[in-house]
Amino acid sequence: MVLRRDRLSSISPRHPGKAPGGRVRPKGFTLVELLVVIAIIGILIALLLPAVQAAREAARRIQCVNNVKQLALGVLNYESTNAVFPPGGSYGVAGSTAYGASWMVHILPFCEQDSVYQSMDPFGANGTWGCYAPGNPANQAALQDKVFNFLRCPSSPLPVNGVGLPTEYQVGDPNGYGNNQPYQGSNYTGISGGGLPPSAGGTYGQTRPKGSSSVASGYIGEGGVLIRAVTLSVADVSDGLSNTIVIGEQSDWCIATDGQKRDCRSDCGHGFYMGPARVNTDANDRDFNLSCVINRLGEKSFAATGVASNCGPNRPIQAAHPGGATVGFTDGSVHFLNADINMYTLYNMATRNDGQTLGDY
Amino acid sequence: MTARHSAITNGGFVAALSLLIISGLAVPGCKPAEKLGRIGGKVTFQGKPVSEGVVLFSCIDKGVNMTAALAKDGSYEIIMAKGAGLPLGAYKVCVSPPPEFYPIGQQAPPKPKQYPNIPAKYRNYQTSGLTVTIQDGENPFDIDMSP
Repeated sequence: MVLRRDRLSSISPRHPGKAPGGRVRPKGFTLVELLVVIAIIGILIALLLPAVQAAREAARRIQCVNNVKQLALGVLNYESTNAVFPPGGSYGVAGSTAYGASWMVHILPFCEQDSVYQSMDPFGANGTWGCYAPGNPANQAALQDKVFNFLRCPSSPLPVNGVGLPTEYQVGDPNGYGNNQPYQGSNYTGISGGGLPPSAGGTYGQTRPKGSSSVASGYIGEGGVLIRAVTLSVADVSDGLSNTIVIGEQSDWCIATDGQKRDCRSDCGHGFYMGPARVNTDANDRDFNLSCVINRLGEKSFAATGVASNCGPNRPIQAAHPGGATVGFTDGSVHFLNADINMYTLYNMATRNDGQTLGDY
Repeated sequence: MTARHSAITNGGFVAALSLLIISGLAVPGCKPAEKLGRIGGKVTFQGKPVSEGVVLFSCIDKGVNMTAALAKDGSYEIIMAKGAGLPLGAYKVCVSPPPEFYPIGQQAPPKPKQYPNIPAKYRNYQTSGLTVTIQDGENPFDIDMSP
């Protein structure tokens, strides 16, 4: 035996198909061996997949941050040209109760969309401004089916506009305004202030109840940088441009008490162009495309105060990204805020002249 | 031969098991869900149910402000995006008439409806005097209002 093994190993030490000892090895792999290999590959893929998804989401988030940056720079460039920040929204033509233009319309020329702006009637010179029928023909023509990528977060599952959507996804009020409207909604809202007023147990005097019939309608902010029909200068932002937020992200669905998804962006289903009307009643007191921060970052409850009602003014800063949301500061810097940010830090960020120092964020 | 075969079978079994465990770990998120304490009850005015209105809860420190519409029998329950209840903590409470809806094309203001069964003092957090501390589990909270 010993002799035979020696001779074999001296002639061909690794003879294919033959195991030491002369037994014949089966050709190919057994089923079990194959299964083990597949299982190991499966484990490796299972380890890799979340990382790949996270990397893709990170890329989308970076693009979203870039959009906020572009909008924040648009606001700043408007200030450079006009010596004031854009209004949070301007009214329609004088003497009417027509709705006007949002802050995003006013910064279109500073976001490389001057040609669109020039073809519009931004101040509603012919009486009406909005795109709703009968609406303003110039604005309808300029904005119909138009999609501005800088108003759209790539992570957002929300529809670009209201075409073909069921009513309940639109505004969330029983009237379903905005249904089938071919006008883009924005994933970014202007910040009109933050914190609750003394009547609601808070300390922020520049926030007031919307209308006066029901505090369930929410609270209108006047302590931020983008306020309805008011233009502010740099000097008005006494907390400092780098301490005051001007833009917040709204890129995910909210969830109603029946478990259904609802669009809870500040355009209230009307599109990014929508601005305020001269207020003639409590119920007409609506801040389109503006949000006063009273709800926590990342709040997605549609039953939160100031969200569901007729264009709730407190639609939260929330994102489809995990863990937080993007905000743009008045100096043009952009931060991704964690969802567990201290609320007073957030209230103070949203208020331009509270005089408080910001905590860590 | 038999011993070698069963060892490999065991190896396959262990690999399959670890695959299951790892994929099971990878799917759910990393943070435990926020703990909610269920809150609900009945709103009455001098013993009679208030069938129209909204109950509001507010915790400024947390930035949690929630509403619950009243049912016909005056009952309510708070339901957030992630389930029934509120994050644990101390809340101020008030009762308000329902918000008005006002169509955008309509220029004539609707006549404001009166709600005598919700006295003015209950309509904001500052004067209502109602507070509740939400704890883990059920938090029954009935509100009986008087003029």
